[in-house]
Amino acid sequence: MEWCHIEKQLRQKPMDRRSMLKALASVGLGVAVMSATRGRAFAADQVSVYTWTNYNDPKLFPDYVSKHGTPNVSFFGDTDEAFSKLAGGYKVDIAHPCADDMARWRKSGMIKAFDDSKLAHAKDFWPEIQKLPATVDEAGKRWFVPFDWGNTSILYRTDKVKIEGDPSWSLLFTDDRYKGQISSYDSGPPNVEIAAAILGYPDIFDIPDDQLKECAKLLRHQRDNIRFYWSDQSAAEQGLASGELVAAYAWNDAVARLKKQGLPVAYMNPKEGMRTWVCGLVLMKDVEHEDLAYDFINAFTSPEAGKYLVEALGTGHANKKAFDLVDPKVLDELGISNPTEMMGRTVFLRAVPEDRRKKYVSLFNTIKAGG
Amino acid sequence: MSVAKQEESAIGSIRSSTNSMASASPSYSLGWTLRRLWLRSEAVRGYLLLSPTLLVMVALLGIPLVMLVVLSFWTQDGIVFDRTFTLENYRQFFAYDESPLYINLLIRSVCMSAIATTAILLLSYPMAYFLAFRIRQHKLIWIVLITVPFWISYLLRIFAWKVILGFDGVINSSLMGLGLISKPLEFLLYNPVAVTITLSHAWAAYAILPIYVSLEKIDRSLLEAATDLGDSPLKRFLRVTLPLSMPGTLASTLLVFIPTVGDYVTPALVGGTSGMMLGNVIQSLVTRSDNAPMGAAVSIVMMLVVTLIVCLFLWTTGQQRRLVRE
Repeated sequence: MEWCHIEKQLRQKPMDRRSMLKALASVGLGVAVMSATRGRAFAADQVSVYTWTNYNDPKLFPDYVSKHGTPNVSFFGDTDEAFSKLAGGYKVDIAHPCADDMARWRKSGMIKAFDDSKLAHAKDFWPEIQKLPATVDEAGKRWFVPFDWGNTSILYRTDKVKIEGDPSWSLLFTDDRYKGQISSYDSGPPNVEIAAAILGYPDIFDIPDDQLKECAKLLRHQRDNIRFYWSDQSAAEQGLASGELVAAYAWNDAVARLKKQGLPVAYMNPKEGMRTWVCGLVLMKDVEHEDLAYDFINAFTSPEAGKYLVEALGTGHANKKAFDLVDPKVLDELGISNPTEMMGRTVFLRAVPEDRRKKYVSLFNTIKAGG
Repeated sequence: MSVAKQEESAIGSIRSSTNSMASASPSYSLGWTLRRLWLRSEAVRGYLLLSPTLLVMVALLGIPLVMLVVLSFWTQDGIVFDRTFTLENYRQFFAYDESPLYINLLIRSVCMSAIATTAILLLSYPMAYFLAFRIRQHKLIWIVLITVPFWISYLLRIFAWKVILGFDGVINSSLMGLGLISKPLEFLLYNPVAVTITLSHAWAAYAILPIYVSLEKIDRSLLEAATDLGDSPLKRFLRVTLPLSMPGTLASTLLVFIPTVGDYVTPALVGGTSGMMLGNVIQSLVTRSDNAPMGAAVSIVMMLVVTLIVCLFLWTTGQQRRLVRE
């Protein structure tokens, strides 16, 4: 059969259906096999990292890249998703949860403690995030290496949103002026906690059932006002840039990115407080490349990586020394020129007890689906 | 009937001849015994011929399905399964007063995919008709053209719709460019309509091809006969073409309806909050709420409901066709 000259055949038209199908099948097979042949050669001897999107930039771990090449990086949208996937048997060497989630991660038995002597930069971490609850055990062993920290608040378009009175998180919940033009994060606990903060409840990380019912009312109001819940922050950023959204729940790296694009945006300092999060790296129990994993972590927490993290992503870094390398003006713009002072002011995210967390998640999911 | 009998007797004679051969040879090696078994039992032969497919089906469909059923009777605490048998998950599903979520979403999913299926049929039938009756030359090229959208990944097709329907998307920017609207239309994206539109496009080829095949098979002389006997084109279509193309139409209805009820990725991308479907809840139960057993129960109820709807659909269409024949 001469169907290797398919273009001629097509022009001369005496091509029967069977040979056409054969040609199509061979193309399909070729395409299917292509993906299997590429990129396998190096896979075996690299550390595998399971992290948030945007953290695969080689400039965030320059020492590792120069020594070993490119690590295998895979992404998750939120830590609940990551936790379930890892619990379901997904194998990686390092994962990137947040400190407020650590109680659950340690209890699961999926991770193991670090050997402090192998962590090159541990002594240079900000003291405020050295010993966060549940990240260090009774014996003083470290289970969590802080890496990035930052704030969460409302990012809004200054040309479209008029703040009346004290700025408040209620803009994302009950402000009907911007119905259909706001977006929030597609994750239960943050939304429930913020609703509780608006209502002024004393402990937003452990809300009893009767208060949860009140929060539900706010969450329903939010659902009716919202355009979409984002699971990938770039969706919110694009929405703000195009004008589809006027305000969105956002991490402070988004502020830096949108400002760079020249958009008129501001980061709210709500009266209920910005929310400060700290995320970091954990070592999986069945880690395959332990030495590479430590190399990666040391590269990730080095001052040079920190400088890049602050400047490019607009996120705080665990290493104090990184801040000396960054232009103070940049730090001022990001609102992190004095982290110690800032962290005293904001709401530090804490672990929610497991049974409560489940309630938060199921309440949010029910409301999101129209319940 | 007679053909079948002939075949049977032919097989019988082969069998008896092999029997005599086997008894004639005195050495019963293992190979011989297997060969004898192979030749003697038609059932064994059948299963052996089927075995590759059968193994794949059992391993990839049968076992997971059984696991899903078992899982749906358990509960989950954190990442640990509590393996005591309970009907709690099913009770939660049907406890409408307690939480109407599941039932409402099930109804919404079925309705949305029924609407999408209807739209697909209405769009695909004329295309298939055109292909079968009007195209005489280069039919193959036309078929390839219809399958071209399927060369792109499903996800990309949905993203393309996001670009088309979006706030600063193709439709909005062209309407604004023409001066027809001053503000972008917001009802295009993130609602059930967007999901239905996207589904209607994404699954169209699954409907066109079966309908085309059954239209293509229609004996053209029947159409001529109908015209000769005085049928108008419309009447001819309703009395001859449509009934004869029913097998393909039914097949494409099922091909589209069954998978779209449980679709997850389309509503996740273009559905927003009001366009959520049951598949999204299953996803969030399994991956976020750490409640895989509930997710399994919801999946099973959904499968049963879809099966029920399909059976009902086939039964009613069967009844109608019987009526037509009488």
